[in-house]
Amino acid sequence: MSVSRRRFLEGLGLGAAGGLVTSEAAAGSTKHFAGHPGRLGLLHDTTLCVGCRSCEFACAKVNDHPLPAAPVGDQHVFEKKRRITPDLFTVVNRYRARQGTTPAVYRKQQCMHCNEPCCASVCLVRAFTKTPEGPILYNPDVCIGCRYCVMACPYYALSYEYDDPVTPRVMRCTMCYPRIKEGKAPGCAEACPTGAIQFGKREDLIKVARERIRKQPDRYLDHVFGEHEFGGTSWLVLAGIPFHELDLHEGVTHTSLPEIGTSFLSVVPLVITLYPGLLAGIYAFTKRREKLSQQERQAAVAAALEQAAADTKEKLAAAAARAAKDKEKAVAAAVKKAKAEAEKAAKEAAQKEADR
Amino acid sequence: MSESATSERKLATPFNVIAGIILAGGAAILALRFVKGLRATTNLTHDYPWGLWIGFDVMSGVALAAGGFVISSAVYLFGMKEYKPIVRPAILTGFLGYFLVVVGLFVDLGRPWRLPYPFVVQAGPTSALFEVALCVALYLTVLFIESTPAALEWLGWRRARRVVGGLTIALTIFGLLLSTLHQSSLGALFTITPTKLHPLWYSSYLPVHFFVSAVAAGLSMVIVESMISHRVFKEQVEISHEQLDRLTLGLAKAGSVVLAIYFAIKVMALMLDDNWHLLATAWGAWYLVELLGFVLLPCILYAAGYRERRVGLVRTTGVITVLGVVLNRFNVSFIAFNYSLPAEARYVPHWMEIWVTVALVTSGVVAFRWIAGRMPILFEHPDWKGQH
Amino acid sequence: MVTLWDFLTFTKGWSYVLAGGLLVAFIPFWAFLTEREPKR
Repeated sequence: MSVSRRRFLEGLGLGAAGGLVTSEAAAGSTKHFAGHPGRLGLLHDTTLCVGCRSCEFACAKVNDHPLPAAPVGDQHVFEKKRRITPDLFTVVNRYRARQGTTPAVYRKQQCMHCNEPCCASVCLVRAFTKTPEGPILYNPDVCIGCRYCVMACPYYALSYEYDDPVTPRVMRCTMCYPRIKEGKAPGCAEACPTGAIQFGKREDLIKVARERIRKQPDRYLDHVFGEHEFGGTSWLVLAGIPFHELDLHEGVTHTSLPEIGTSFLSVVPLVITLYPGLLAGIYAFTKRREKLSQQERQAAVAAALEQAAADTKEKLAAAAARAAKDKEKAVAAAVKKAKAEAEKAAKEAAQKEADR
Repeated sequence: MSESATSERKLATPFNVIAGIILAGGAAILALRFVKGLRATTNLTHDYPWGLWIGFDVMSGVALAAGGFVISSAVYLFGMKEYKPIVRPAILTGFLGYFLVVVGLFVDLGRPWRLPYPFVVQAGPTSALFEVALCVALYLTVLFIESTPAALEWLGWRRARRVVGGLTIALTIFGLLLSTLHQSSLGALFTITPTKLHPLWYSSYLPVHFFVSAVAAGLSMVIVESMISHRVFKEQVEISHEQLDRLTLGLAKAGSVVLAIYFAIKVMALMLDDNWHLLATAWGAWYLVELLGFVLLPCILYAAGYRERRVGLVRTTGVITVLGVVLNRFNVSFIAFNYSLPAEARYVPHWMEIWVTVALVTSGVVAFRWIAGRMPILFEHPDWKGQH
Repeated sequence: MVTLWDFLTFTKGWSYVLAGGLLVAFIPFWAFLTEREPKR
């Protein structure tokens, strides 16, 4: 019993230590961070976008990528939806409203630089950082290439260099962070000829967006996408057609995805604290039950042996008594016989005496 | 015992030849993967960064190797001593299984030489994958230590064997703790993708689903593995067919209860997320195939098999359950994942990915065969009889 | 929320009903499972 008690306390100690170690990780999921004030963002007004794709070319120039094959103004490139690739940090796709007669709508897609980014939350080496200015940066020097970030991003904004066997990286829009640090606007914002991309402080852009909606309620849907979706993004989108037709999921929770995705973390300290003590206790209980049943068995065996011994004793005593009785009988019979013989001998002697 | 048989064993048996071809081909493909990059040997895309190597080698592999902690906990913590003969094979299967998980992960990572980075360079503890990595690494160590008694008996290192034997209870507790954490956090990997994983498979309780189904998978794998081992190693096994049948039926009873619990949780999830209407869709039909054909059906078959003492039925059900858990992991990781993407964007494994996966499983079988044929896994070492 | 049906639907009380049902259903399941075990 003392062994299992010690083990129980060992288990509790282990559990307490484990709880201390993991409490930090669990605490991170319940804090609520409103975001750095004055952080930057971009407003994409899809009603102004004409699909010229100048932004794609500007982006390729800034990032030293090969220029897109299809020239500016090409319409065939829109026949299939394209996605972000290691050479194409932003793409413009064409979407048609359900009625065939209404004009096509174009939307530029790139990393949304979320307020609470999934990529940063799921990275097991903390390769992503959300800067106070707004952009999310990626550090290829620690990345191990697990691609969980690519898996998790709800906006399909990340791509991976599968062709590179030695130094593959996650490739995505960086919001032209070096340019922003110099006080310039991102390449796409500068290149856009129609003003469909505006760069500035996120809180100002939200006001601008709301103002546009107020001034032209027939042109815009009364919703600034990115303001609250999944905790909010740095890229805000205005549209005249429902957002899900632009491949943007609207009406999702305002809770950030990292908050949802890290809720499991609260279980970890619980398991680490409860399991050792609980399982050691179960082990102790099992051991005690086994010991008791073993003791019972031993007691039963001892009792049986004792009973057998007692029985044997009884039998021996009975046999001895019988033997003594038999002996007595034999002695009595012998005495009787001797007496009879003596009587007979005496009778014969008396007869002989009488004959003379 | 089998010393004469060992020296008579040919190297070029049909099994060895086929296994050799599979392993050689796998090695060649892996060389290509490391020379030309993942694109050369996989069908991974930017939409599907995780494919068969993650879906099977990592996620299914971990679930199928769960027999180790289930049986060892049953025997050492819950006192079910009658299952002692199958503890060592279950632990060995677990160890080889988890080892192959790490190999599979190594092969899939973009920069596998950086695998220790989360522990020694920079940690990201908010990530479910960090918890998976940490717990799998620790649990692999636990399984390794739990596998050493057999090796130490075989080598004759008595003192070391005694030391390790004394650690059994602590290791079993630690192993159950770690298994709970990493089985569930594999499910937690997908809780952050509610827009990408089809709502019938998505639940914020995915960690619980994954853990319970892993227990069922582990039990079923033990049933299947013990059936095969008993036939292949008939000279070494010390328990009779009847004894194994009794143990198999006992496992069926447990499997039936676990699958019943799993089924109940899944039905509750449908209720809580109010997803009944989705069952009437094509995806819903596929979901019902998984839920009814591979969860409810084996639950009933296990129960019937146990009740009627039909061991053959139980063994077949074991195979169905294993397939069902693999199907579930596939659904969650790449079939029902990105469900709204058009058909041309969907992922189908490259034949090279399939070959490497088969090669990894083959290497596990070969290793098991080598170890079980020599070390006291399926039999008791004469010097250590009754002391496990 | 007028009828019991409405109340259960609005407050997601049906999930409790289902949970209770599943718990109760476990009893005949266990009976089925252990009915033919030797030696009570």
